[in-house]
Amino acid sequence: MPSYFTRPLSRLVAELEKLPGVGPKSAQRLAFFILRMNDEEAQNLAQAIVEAKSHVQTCRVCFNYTDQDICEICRDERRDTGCICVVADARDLVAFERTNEYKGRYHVLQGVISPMDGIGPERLRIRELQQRIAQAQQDNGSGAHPVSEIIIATNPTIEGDATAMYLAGILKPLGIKVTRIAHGMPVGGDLDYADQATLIQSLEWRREI
Amino acid sequence: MYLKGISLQNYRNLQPVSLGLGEGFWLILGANGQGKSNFLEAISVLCLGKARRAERDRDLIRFGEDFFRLEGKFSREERGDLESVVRLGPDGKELLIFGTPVGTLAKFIGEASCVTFSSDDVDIVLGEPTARRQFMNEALSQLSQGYIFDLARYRRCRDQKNKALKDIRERLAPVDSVEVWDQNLAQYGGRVCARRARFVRQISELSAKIYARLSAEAEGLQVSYEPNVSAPEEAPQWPEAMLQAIVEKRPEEIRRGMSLVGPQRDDLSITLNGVDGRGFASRGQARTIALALRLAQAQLMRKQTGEWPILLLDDVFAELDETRRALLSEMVSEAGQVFATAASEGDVPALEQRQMGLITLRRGQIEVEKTAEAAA
Repeated sequence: MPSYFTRPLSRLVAELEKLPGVGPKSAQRLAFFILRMNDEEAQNLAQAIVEAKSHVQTCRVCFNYTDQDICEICRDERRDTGCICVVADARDLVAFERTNEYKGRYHVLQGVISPMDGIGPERLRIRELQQRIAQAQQDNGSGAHPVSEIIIATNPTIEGDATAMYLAGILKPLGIKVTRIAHGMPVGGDLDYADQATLIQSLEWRREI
Repeated sequence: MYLKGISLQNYRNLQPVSLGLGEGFWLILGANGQGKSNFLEAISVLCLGKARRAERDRDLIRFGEDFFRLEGKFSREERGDLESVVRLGPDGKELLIFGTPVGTLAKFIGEASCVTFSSDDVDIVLGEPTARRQFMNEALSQLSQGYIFDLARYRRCRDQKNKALKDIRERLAPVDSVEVWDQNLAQYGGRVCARRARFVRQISELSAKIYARLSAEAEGLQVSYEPNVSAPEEAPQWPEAMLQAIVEKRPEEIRRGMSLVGPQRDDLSITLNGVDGRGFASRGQARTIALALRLAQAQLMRKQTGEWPILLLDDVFAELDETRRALLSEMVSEAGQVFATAASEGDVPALEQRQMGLITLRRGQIEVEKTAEAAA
């Protein structure tokens, strides 16, 4: 396709197009917007990208994003080290943190198992989770396992479920309680408005009261 | 249920038009290639959100244009009126109910319902098992949102598992990496099978009665479900039965690098007086069986939703003899609205009880010549 843009502009459009959820049209719109910015604004944007890229890394323990070696959550002594919530993505961790209810630690897998995308368990931070648990056991010496519960909080998608199955398969033999977050009716939801699939799921995952 | 009005823009070869319609029997007249089937298809797209005959949605857009838009106003007995829109443009497909986009196809299907009868229906009897599975899928999608959801999840899971099996065969992944998919595969696949089993039981009873009426020789039609897993006694046991079959087949699945158990291998058995009709029935018999199955599908929808679907008869009368034409027109006369295409008026039996509406089609131009009058 012939380019209607001068080179630096078409390069900017091409770079923006690589971003998730940005198609050719949106990339053009963003590029034109950036061109209309004043110099300082454009500098700030470019700097923010470079700085974030060079200063943000993943936590050595849980693989959450941080600007330090170990993230704030992992350093927080008040948080329960015995409970680890396993999430697929750092964004899921943020969602749990916003609730202000969960006081345990996290482990970010950085994805879910998906053969179609070429992602097997070895590509996720599962080995690191195993090492983390083994390390805790070692530090504790004898006695009860220091990790009392692993909550698997991957999304209830086919891939999220498969990842949960895999984790349960390797963690349960260690004698640790492994739980899966519930799914079904949303809180405050109206049965009348729920779609059939959600209703079916909530029947399946019902529990005794 | 009936369509009160329809607007078309850039749909296949059809000229843009807005039509007022109503209850009753509508005859659509036009020579071949004028767009009669496309008009029926447009109505079905407003019910199903997609076209059966199209490989890709893009093929539905009029040549040289970059979008199509269909709008339908329906009258429903139980659930009140409905306005739905299907729009396909450069940014993708949009499904709207009363102007509000619905996120998924599952939430769109079932709002308005229709059954299409076409000459391709003989494939249900004479064609490959795929045609019979498609018959089940299409009917069940309109009867149950849960079915659409389970089938979509099942397919996704099966695709992932097939890739995992391929990776194992090529020694890119360890042998135990396949097991994580099986639980969900059996869960969703089992539920798909349980619904199919129930559906076929119901359709079998209805279609046998209809076939007996349609066929002069009172041949006995029997339709039964042929799952690829040995069927359990009770519906809730399906997932378990499927999981067991998957585990048994695992070595073979790994050897062949594909999943071998599940609804993608189901079939329907169709017998006439105990003789397998699949591939062996005469064309005439196959046509009558297919007609009986479609009528049974419509009756079942009426039974389960309390409302007749809109019936779309694509050149069906021309293929039938005088007696069967009369029987078919009698049977469809119970429905709230019927659209039947024909190349000439003589192909359709004269209706006494109700007044036929007449629509003509010339080179994509649709015109209502006469309005149908609902049965008293």
